[in-house]
Amino acid sequence: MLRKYSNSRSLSDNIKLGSLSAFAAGMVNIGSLLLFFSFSSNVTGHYAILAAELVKGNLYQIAVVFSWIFLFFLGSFVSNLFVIHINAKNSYIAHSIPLILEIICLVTVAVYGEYYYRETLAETEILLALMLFAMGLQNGLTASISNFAVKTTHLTGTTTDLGVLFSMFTKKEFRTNETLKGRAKLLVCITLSYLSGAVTAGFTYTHLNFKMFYMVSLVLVIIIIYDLSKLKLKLYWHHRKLIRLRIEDVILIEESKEKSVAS
Amino acid sequence: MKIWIKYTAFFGLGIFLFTLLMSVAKSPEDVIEGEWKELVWEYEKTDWNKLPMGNSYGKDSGYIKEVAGQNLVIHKAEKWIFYPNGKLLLKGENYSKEIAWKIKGRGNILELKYDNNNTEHYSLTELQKDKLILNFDTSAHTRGIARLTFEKIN
Repeated sequence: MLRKYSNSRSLSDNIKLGSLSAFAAGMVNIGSLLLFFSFSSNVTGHYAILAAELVKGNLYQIAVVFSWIFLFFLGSFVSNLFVIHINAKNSYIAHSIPLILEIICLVTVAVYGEYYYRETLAETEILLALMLFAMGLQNGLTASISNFAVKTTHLTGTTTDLGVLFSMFTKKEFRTNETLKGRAKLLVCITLSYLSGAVTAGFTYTHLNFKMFYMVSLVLVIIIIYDLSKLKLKLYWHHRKLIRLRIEDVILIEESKEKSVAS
Repeated sequence: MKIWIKYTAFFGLGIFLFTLLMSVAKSPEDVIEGEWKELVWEYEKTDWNKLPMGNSYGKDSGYIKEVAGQNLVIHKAEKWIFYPNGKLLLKGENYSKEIAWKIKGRGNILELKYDNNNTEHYSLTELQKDKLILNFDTSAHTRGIARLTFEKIN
């Protein structure tokens, strides 16, 4: 899910990463809407709000919305910075760092919200800012490592692409095209996962409240651990193979010794 | 110019703009503090054909307050006094009630919390030093959006 980069990624890699991260984004977005009355995983609406506040001349709101958009941008910037600078040394670590930072942001929101939140406006805005930064990190990472094939924090582009693909499938030549079919499968998975995350957040909000961000963090931990477990499994098989080879070598040496003694 | 200088300048400009705006602007929590008097209740958007006698009632502030606010605690109030400690005193004729207030979102949502932990949310459409406009969705009798306008008296 995380180790491979750009064109070396398979459809399955993208579907797994896209589904899990879209589920997390759906939860975060609805969580922030229910807790703070503002979206945190998409910035298109914030651009519209920024324009409206600029027209009204509300300096405070302009500053707040500007900072949210800026932090989403910064998240994406930081994410790609790690990917392009550390990728050559260790792609798994390069791709895990943005997710670890995202987990830190979300756990901070959860802990602060649960134990210290007094519902002041400043606190609300800072916690929302952290969530927008986290979503910027996630979107930057998935887009960067998948060669812009996977974007999971908003569905405008996904819905547009799905519309285009579905219209293409009215022609037989496109219906039989495996690449297009795979792309459609990926986009449907992202959409459904995002929706599932959003619905889960809606249902669990009253019981979990800020604890829902622990759940989101757990999903992100699964993304990180999945590849780590695969790496460990690979190492384990490699190790077993080595042992088997050594045993075979020992047997061969023993056999050659026996032969030499017999002769 | 070296690339790192360009990047530092770009991010520095962003931080500078934010700091400048925040230092000039006043927080909605500070602006709302004080005593506000209800001026008028209006329907901004509604199913006019569902109002008795159509449009004429839709412009009567008293009637709208009765219909749109009938299930809300605020409908008995005429004066709203916002205290800095998050307390809101609703005052009407022979009526007084203390509840809690919070501002959420980007400063565009007013949350009112009652003793029984019930909450009501109002959209802070306009908040200036002498004028406050609140909007809320109505569903009792008539579906629509109601608007309350206040003026600051103290």
